This record gives sequence, structure tokens and C-alpha cells, in this order.
Amino acid sequence: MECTWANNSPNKTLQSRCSRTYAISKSIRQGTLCLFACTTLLLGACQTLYEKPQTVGEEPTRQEAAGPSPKELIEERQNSVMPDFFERSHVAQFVDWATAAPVSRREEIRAQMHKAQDSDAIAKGLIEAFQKAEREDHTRALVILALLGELRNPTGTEFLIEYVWRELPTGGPVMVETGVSLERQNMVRLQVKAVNGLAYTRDPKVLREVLEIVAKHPSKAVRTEAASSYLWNQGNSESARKTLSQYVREGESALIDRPVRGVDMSGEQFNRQLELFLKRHPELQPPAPTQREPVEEKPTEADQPPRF
Amino acid sequence: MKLFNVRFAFAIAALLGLANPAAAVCVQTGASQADRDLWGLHGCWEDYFLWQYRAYDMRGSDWNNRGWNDACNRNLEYPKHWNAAYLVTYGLLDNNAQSFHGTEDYRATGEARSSRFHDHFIHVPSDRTDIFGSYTNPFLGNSRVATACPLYNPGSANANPGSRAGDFMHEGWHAWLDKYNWNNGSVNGHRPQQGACTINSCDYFYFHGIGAYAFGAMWQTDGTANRFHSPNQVQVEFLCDVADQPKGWVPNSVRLASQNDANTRAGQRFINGPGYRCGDPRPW
Repeated sequence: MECTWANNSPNKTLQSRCSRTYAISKSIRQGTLCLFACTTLLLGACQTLYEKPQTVGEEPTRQEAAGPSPKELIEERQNSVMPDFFERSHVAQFVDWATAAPVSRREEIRAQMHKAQDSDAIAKGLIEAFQKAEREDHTRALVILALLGELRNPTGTEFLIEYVWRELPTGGPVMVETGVSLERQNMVRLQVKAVNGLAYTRDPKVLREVLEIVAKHPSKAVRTEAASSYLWNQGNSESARKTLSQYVREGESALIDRPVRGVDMSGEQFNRQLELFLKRHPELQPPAPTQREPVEEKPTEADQPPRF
Repeated sequence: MKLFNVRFAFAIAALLGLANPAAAVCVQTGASQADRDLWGLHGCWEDYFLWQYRAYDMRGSDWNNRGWNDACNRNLEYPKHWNAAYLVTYGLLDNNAQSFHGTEDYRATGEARSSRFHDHFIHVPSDRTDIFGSYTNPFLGNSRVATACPLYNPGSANANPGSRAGDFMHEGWHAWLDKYNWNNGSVNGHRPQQGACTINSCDYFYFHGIGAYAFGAMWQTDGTANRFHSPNQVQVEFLCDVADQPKGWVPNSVRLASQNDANTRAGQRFINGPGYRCGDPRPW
């Protein structure tokens, strides 16, 4: 388009004027573009450099009407009635209730799981619920695994064994801090929970499976949990510690003495446990922390301008 | 001419990009079980979130398409953020005989205000999916604690109020290290993989007993390994206190998720690990 129409004309003056005009307008266009880009960059830099302080009046707002007070809601949940839990069809509602139930009602749920221990139907219902939740809602999946472990039913246990040994996903976008994908990390977290349930059966055959996990599972976090779960369910006895020592990997002997802060444990009991752990494993004492080095100013020949 | 049009189009696109930096958002179609369970206990208490946004120094310009003007929609990032803050503010028992630290410590670590714990920072969201959170201290402008999509998307293990609040502690502790000029390593403020740590960003565990720190004193250090904390350690201790020393009304899902995060982290992230095991290893 650059003056093609003029170049096709026999009028040389027209050609020359067109070329000059085009050159000028090209400069103007380029200058305008540059101005746009520079202004944009400058505005962006100013926005970053100048952070407007928080001002009153810019507060968040809601669209729904206010609900009951926290006090009322807590009381309502504290007094809520545990739903039935003796058929497969009861599983979803029971999970909904148990997951939201307050920590103060934990023993009631444990007792209910103990009552349902012989129900294969309930175990299968929980497995089905877990499979549905696994990809959509990690916390719900975790809660269901906890219930399945507490149930101590053979069908449930068989599933937990299979799940713990399921291959961890490889590939996928990697998390910066872990070096593995979020999908893999999510599954490790669930396998850590599953291993609690295995050890809790206290069945000799299943406990041997737990020891195999200590020795062979690819995830350090799962091996660690398996070791702690094994010892706790064996009463932390000397014979259990000796057995465990035959399975822990080289370099992981600290798992045998790892401090466990039990829920009913006093501060003194925990502190004694910690003291013994550090005495047995002095190599685990961390080095002294260090301060960051101050920026060193290094003079150069260019520091002093020439004498005027 | 065509090349000019292309360049011009790029300039316009750049301008639009800068004008609308928060176009991408995390999953906004659901909340995790633990988020829903905790939410059901405060009913979107307005007095609380009108305090919380100031305490955490959160700005509408950062959170405006993430629930700033829909603060009771539990599926959005801002409501999930203050749901986690609610747990920090009210959820702990503060048991002198058994807790590692108290609400006073955890609030001071996660909230924005300048104190002996850290200098002032603001809380901002991030659409990154390859981190949980970050702490940055730019040369000019506010220091920032950013929380990213893996803390909000319901399919993620850390998208629960305990783990999200745990990240407030983690990043807040980077701010403590920064304030007092401590060197915690060159891998995003951590140390490279070594020893018992099996991931990219590692810390030491500076073991201490119950009662070693009075409540409110977690910021203290004598400059030795006997009295010091690392970011992952503060996070584990907070999660342990949520799991083992919560108020009675805290939902079971929140407790279980916090315990699971603490114990997994303790098994993976420490050069001199494992860290303590939180609670009895019983399934429920």
C-alpha cells in the first residue's frame, strides 16, 4: 500500500510527496505505538510501586441474608441425632453426619463403627462412597477411609491393602516445593490414612502386611506412618520395636523411636519421649541457624568520576 | 501495514492484560467437605469477616472476583480464606499442658500486623497451580503472603481450612526469618533435598518439648538450634494443635485433615526427620 498508487502514476512530484508523507506518518505511527507501550509499562510500574493503603469503606459485602449465630449452630450440631447405620443405604447420610460432627462426639462414632464391624454391606457402601469422593473431594475421601479403618471389617481391610499398594501416579505438572504432581501427593495423603486402618486391625496377618509397607512402600511418608501405626497397635513393646527394626530401611532407624504426641498424653510424658529420642539419635540434632550475609559493597574503579 | 496492525494489536492486548490482572481464578464451583463442615458452624458471621479482612489486610482490588462482594458464598476464594482464619482465631484449646503453642502465636504469625513475629504484609490470592503459597518481600511495595489454587480447589488434599491456615503459618514464618535476617536456604527460602527429606524444599526440625515456649513467645530465639523454628515445623506444630487440641466443636473432618497433613509433612519435609507424630495412630 505504500504509495503504490502514486508509484504507478507518471507524476514524479506526486511520488516524492507520497513517499515523504508516508515516511512521516510511519514515524508518527511508530512513535504513537511506542508511547502506548511506554505509558502502559509506566502505569503498571506505578501501580506496583504505589500500594494504596487499605481504606475504610472498601469492605467485603455479602449477598445472602444473615444466618443463626455461631453459638446456636454449635449447640444444634452438638445435639444432633446420630442417623441409622445398619444398612448400605445408610452410608451416605451417616458419613454426612459423622464428618461434620464435633470432635467431642468422637467416641460415639467409634462405638457405632464397632457395632457395624461385621457388616460387609456397610464396608462395601463405604468403599463405593470413597471411590466417588476420591477425585472430587479429598477431605471427604479421607474421612471415609478413616471410618473404613475404624470399622475393622475384613472386606474393608482387603480394600485398604489394595489401596495402599496402588501405584502412585507419575508425570503431570509438578509442584515446585515437592517435585511431584499434586495428583501424586493427594494419593500419598490417602495412602497414609489407609495404613492407619490396616495396623488397627491388630490381625497378625495384616500386621505382617504393615511391616512389608515399612520395608517396601515407595513413599517415605507412608513408610513412616506404617512404622508409627505398627508400634502403637503393638503397645510400643520391646518385642515390637525389635521386630520393626528388622524391616526399617537403612537410614530410617529413627522411625523406631519417633515421638508420638498421644491425645491423652501429658506434656511430661511427651517431653520424656522426646528426650529419649534425641539421646538415641544425636545425629538428628540440627545445626545452628545462620544469618543471611549482609550485602558486601565492592568498590570498583568506576566509583570515582574523573576530576572535573 | 500488516506488521503495524500486529504490533498495535499486541500493545492493546498488553494494555488490557494489565488492566485486568485477575482474569483467571481457582475452582469456584464447590468447597471441600471440611470447608463445608466448618462453614456450617458460623453461618457466615458478618462481624467476623468484617474484622478479618482488616486483620489480614486484604484488599478488594485483589479479591474482587473471588468473593469480596459475595463473602458468604463458601465456594469462592475469599470466603474460604476467612473460613480458615476463623479456625485460627477460635478453634484452638490453648492447653498449657499439651499444646505446642497458643492462639496468640498462630494469630500473630498469620495476621498482617507488624509485631515481634514479622513485619507487615498483606494477603493476596494467586492462580498458580504449582505452589501452595508464597511469601515475597519486594524492594518497593507491600510484602505479600499469597495463597494459591491448590489451597482452594476441592480436589486438592490441602483445600481444607486446617491446611490453608497451616499455609498462613508457613508463609508467615518466612516473614519471621526475613525480619530477623535468618538464612533458611536458597531453594525458595528452604534447603535443597538432603538427608531424610524426600522433596525439593527442605527444613530442619528444631525439636522442642511441650511448655518450652510460653504462649505468645514462639517468635523467640537465642540464636541456637535449641530455640528456633523453621516454616515447615511451625506448620506441623499448628496442624498438630488443631488435630490434638481443638475446641470440642471443631468438626471431625477438620481434625482428620489437619492430622493427615501434619503427619505426611513430618514424614517428608525434614532433613533430620521424621518430625513428631500427631495423635494416636488410630483411624478415627
